[in-house]
Amino acid sequence: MTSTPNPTDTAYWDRLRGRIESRTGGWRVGEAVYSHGYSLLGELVGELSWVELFALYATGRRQPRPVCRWLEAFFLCMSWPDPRIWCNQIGALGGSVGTSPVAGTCAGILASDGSLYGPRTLIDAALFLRQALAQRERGTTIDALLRQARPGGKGKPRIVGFARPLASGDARVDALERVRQDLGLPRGPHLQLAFAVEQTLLEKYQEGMNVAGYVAAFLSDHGFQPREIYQVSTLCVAAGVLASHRDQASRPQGRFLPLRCEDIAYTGKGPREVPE
Amino acid sequence: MSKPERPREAMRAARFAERISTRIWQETPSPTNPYVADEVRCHGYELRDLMLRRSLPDTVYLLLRGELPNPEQSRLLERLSIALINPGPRSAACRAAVACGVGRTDPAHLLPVGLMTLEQATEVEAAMRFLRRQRSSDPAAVAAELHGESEPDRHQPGWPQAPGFGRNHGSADPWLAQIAEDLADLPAAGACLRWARDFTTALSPRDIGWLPHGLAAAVLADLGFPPRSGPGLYQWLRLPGILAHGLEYANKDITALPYVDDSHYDIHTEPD
Repeated sequence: MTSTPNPTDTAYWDRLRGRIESRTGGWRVGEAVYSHGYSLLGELVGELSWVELFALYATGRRQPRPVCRWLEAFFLCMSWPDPRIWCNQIGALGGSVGTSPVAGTCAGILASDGSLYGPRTLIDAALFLRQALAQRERGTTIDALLRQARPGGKGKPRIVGFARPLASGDARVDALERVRQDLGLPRGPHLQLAFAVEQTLLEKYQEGMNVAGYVAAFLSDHGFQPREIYQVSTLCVAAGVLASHRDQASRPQGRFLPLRCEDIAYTGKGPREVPE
Repeated sequence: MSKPERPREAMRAARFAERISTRIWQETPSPTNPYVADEVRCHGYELRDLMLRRSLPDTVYLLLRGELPNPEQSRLLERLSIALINPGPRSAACRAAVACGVGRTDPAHLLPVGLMTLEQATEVEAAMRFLRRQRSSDPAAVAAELHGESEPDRHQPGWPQAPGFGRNHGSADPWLAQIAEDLADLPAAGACLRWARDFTTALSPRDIGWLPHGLAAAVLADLGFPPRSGPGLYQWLRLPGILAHGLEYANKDITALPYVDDSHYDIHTEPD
């Protein structure tokens, strides 16, 4: 005879039925829209820039104005209106077939959420730099750090944040360094380490830091946790995707890289009958 | 007269539902956990019985229409779902999914990205409404009238006067025409599909024919789906091919795709 199973204790979920608990804020009708302890409409509108608000929402903390000015520069550096970049190509394809700008831009943003480029790569870059800084503080050399990394092609260490898929060098690093200096923001320990790692990579493999390594280092120096760096970078490709979508949407449909049947190389099985 | 003031912000007097309601899906709670269902019914039918006795197209039809299709309707939907299973590697949707593949996008995003880039999905609703309005008219007369009003642009796929119809890179699509004939011969083919077949026959001397979303619209309209369900159902029809092509390129090197070099990339901009 089987015994009747005991009821599951569902108090954990029952307490939340029909309730929302918010750590960000909310709308009290007729009173205010509360956001992180402020009145959004009374205290933040007209005071904060959009990037300052976005950084607050991405981290839960007000970020210093110079850091937010720097973030805006980072977003500009990621806003290339070139449809050869994969996320932008998706925007261009959407524009060429008449999807809405919202759909096209969202598709491109979603495409950037991966392990080759885009916001998610900043997590691994930040984790590497945090771990590397801790090891350096215990006396590990840069060479030893590089030997720990996964080997890539031609024996180069594969470290997220250093080297790029399409090109060597990264002019965005120079641009963001210029902005950092103009804003009077110091090179903190993570950024100093990133440049030291780059120096060794340049000497041995002619590879430099890419924007992911630079951004992860800079934001780590300003108190951003790896996940917060990812969150604040969520929309970083949006403007470039939108521009690519708009460019093709402003033209007659189907003009973006049309393909003949022969432009696809078929490498599959030969013709065969469908079995009964 | 003094200017009227804007009202002070206040919640409108509205009575909200106490619970979410649905006609589609019934979950009977397990006796030991009210958050877990131990019996699931779709429009009254036990899901396990549907799994054992009916097909996927049958169950999709049931989900959206509320009743199971008869065998003829099932066959029509199933054949349409195979005919449109893949927009093809040259389509915007598949190319978007492929770009996700080489870009090492999270695999869970391949399909949404492709579906958001699917050509003409939005227009399926307009195509269904067009066919429902026209299905009692003389297709040859409608063809002549619309063509007389405005010839479709030879380089554009669509024809605003007749959503769902037009040209594939300047030509009527012969493969779609053959598929449409196959589907129009089925017992469940209705007024929309037969009317559209005659419409495209009348237009064929002008090299105007079916577009994929027009074929979907005709079949979905004949099966009784409401026009607003057209875009979503069209996405469902096309999604397996989008997923397949995206996955084929997942984790391939970026050099697996052609790259347009700077000598073939023209920039025509002047700063303001």
